[in-house]
Amino acid sequence: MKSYLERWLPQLLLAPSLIVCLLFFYGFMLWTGWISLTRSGMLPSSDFVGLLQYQRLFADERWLGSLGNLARFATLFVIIPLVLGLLLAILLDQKLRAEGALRLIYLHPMALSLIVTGTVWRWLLDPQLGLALGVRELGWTSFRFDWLGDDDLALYTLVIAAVWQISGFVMAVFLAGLRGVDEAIVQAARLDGAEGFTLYRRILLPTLGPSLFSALLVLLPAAIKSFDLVVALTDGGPGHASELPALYMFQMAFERSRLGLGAASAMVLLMMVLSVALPYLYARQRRQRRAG
Amino acid sequence: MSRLLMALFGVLPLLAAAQPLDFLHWWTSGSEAQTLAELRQTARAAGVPWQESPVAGAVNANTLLKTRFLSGHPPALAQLDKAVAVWGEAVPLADLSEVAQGWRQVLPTVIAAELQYQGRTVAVPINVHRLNTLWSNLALLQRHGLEVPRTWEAFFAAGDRLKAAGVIPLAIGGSVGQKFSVFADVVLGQGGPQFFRRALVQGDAALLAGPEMLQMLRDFKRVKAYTDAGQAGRDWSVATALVIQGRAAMQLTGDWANGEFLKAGRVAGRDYDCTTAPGHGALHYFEFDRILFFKPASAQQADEQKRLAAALMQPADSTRFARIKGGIPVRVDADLAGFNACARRSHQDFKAGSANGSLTLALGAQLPEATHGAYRDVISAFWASDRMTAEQAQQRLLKASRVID
Repeated sequence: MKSYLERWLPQLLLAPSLIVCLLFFYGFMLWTGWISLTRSGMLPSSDFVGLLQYQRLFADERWLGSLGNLARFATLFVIIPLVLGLLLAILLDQKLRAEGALRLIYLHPMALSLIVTGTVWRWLLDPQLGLALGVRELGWTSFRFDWLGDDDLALYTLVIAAVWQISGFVMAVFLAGLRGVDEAIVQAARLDGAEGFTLYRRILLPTLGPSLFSALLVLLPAAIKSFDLVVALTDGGPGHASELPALYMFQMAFERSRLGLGAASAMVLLMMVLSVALPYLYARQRRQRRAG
Repeated sequence: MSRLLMALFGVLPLLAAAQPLDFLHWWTSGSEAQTLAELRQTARAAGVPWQESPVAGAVNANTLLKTRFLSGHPPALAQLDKAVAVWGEAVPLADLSEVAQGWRQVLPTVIAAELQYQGRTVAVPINVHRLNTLWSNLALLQRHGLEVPRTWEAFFAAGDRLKAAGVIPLAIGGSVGQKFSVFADVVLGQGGPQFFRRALVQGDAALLAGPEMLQMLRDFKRVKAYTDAGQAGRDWSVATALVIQGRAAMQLTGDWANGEFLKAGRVAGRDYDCTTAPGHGALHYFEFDRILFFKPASAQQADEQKRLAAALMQPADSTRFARIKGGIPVRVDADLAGFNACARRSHQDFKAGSANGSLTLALGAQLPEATHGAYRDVISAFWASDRMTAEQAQQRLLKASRVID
């Protein structure tokens, strides 16, 4: 009896969450895939139209524009936090006395939801009321900062807010990586005369590969899924100059009564996230196979 | 727990036979909540069991409405912000024709027609909002030796003078709707209601691609030069506040702005004026709040729906809703005692427009959502972008008119 329970209890306990996951995750994924092949408008319908919604999607300038925006946003959203995070991690690694407090300060933006981040930055970046007003009141009366209202630059306000939010996290990942290096190796390198910059360049940074990978795996899908920050900060505007695909998806599916088109854009987003995640999973599996 | 499960699986509608009329709406702000209290009172007085399902925000409310249809327990009534046909094609509606016999005599044809789906009356109007109003700060205009502009040429000339004097000529909010209403005002002011109908509602390619539309797009974009940089993310009421404070001279928006002026203690005709948009003359461009009635769950509910519909259209009740909600009563025979000068002028134009056929219903209520949305995309992108030319915008407008579903 006991052995029977012991054998089946874990499975039994895991079953409900597994079923919920299967249904609400993969089930709805399949359902969205199906909807993207139908004429669904305000309500889901089963009128099969093949790839029509995908054709419409890629004929829509607004969608193509949002893809272009995503490319610009994602590039900066990945590179800047990686560089900034690495720099902060190296600085914090210098055995500072107040390291704990500093780490907390840098990590703190992570504790805010993106809606809050977006709202705060919308106020800060407001061309008439925000930081710009503060600078003008300090005496620089001709100072202007109106990226929010500029259709070339509005996208970069998203980058500013997102980088502010996520850099602390990347720093923590790299710091953990740096601290994970075997002290014996560092000592050996020191004995061989490696100091400061050389020590980092030759010994410590090359061991950060896995940290870089995990940071990338968080940053890239986060960029692709970006929605709440856009809604709170620019709402895609001015025009659609700072619109990202997730916002397009939401508006088409729920505000425009174009459920099929929204589902098609959701499937394209899914493909993009998978194209980031699958190579990683594949590489890891191969490494494990080689190791085993 | 078991009740929760039943609700989850949509078994509840089976038990819902004796339920009150459930009204799904997003009237949650101050004056809206007051209007709701009036509706409730009218329903109770008519002996109709009444229940409310408030949801914050039109988008959320519409999503919930769809979900309730999909899960099998739809409400009996809902606030409507789309063309009646959008819902008519998707779900079964009620039939109020029996009590709506006399409505054609008291409602403009445009409104009576928009309450019908396939020849049956399925909705009840609550109040009318005029959209084509130019709100102006009279004291400010007089100080600069200007009159309220009645044509677009006069508007641009006044705008130049005000701009040179350091005043924002036109206050505008950040939403797409604010820009789109400027576009509609330009098209209606320069092309008139016939052109508007043929070009934008019927999507006549010759007109959409023609030289007149190109000029209208140029003038629409020209308006942007008379607005300020702080418009991104600004609420329409904040834009109205700029006019009230005298930092901006004018605003083009619907008659909901009237409430803001009244709240600030300003008097129409003395402190501020509410004329039609430049070039509009006495044209009345409007949208109206209405309640859509869905297919009743039982014969008893069908009867209650009819009683409610009749009660909501009583002259006294109908007028009371408009007074609290803002705007004007929907009945042409309404008594405007107690309304201010702006509302009276609006109702006068409303009646005249109803008689001569120039009364024009908002584009959003006349077009499929997809088409209207596609137009809005073009207009908002054109307003924002300094690189898009009027010719490019015109091409995209033509393309948008062919987006149907």
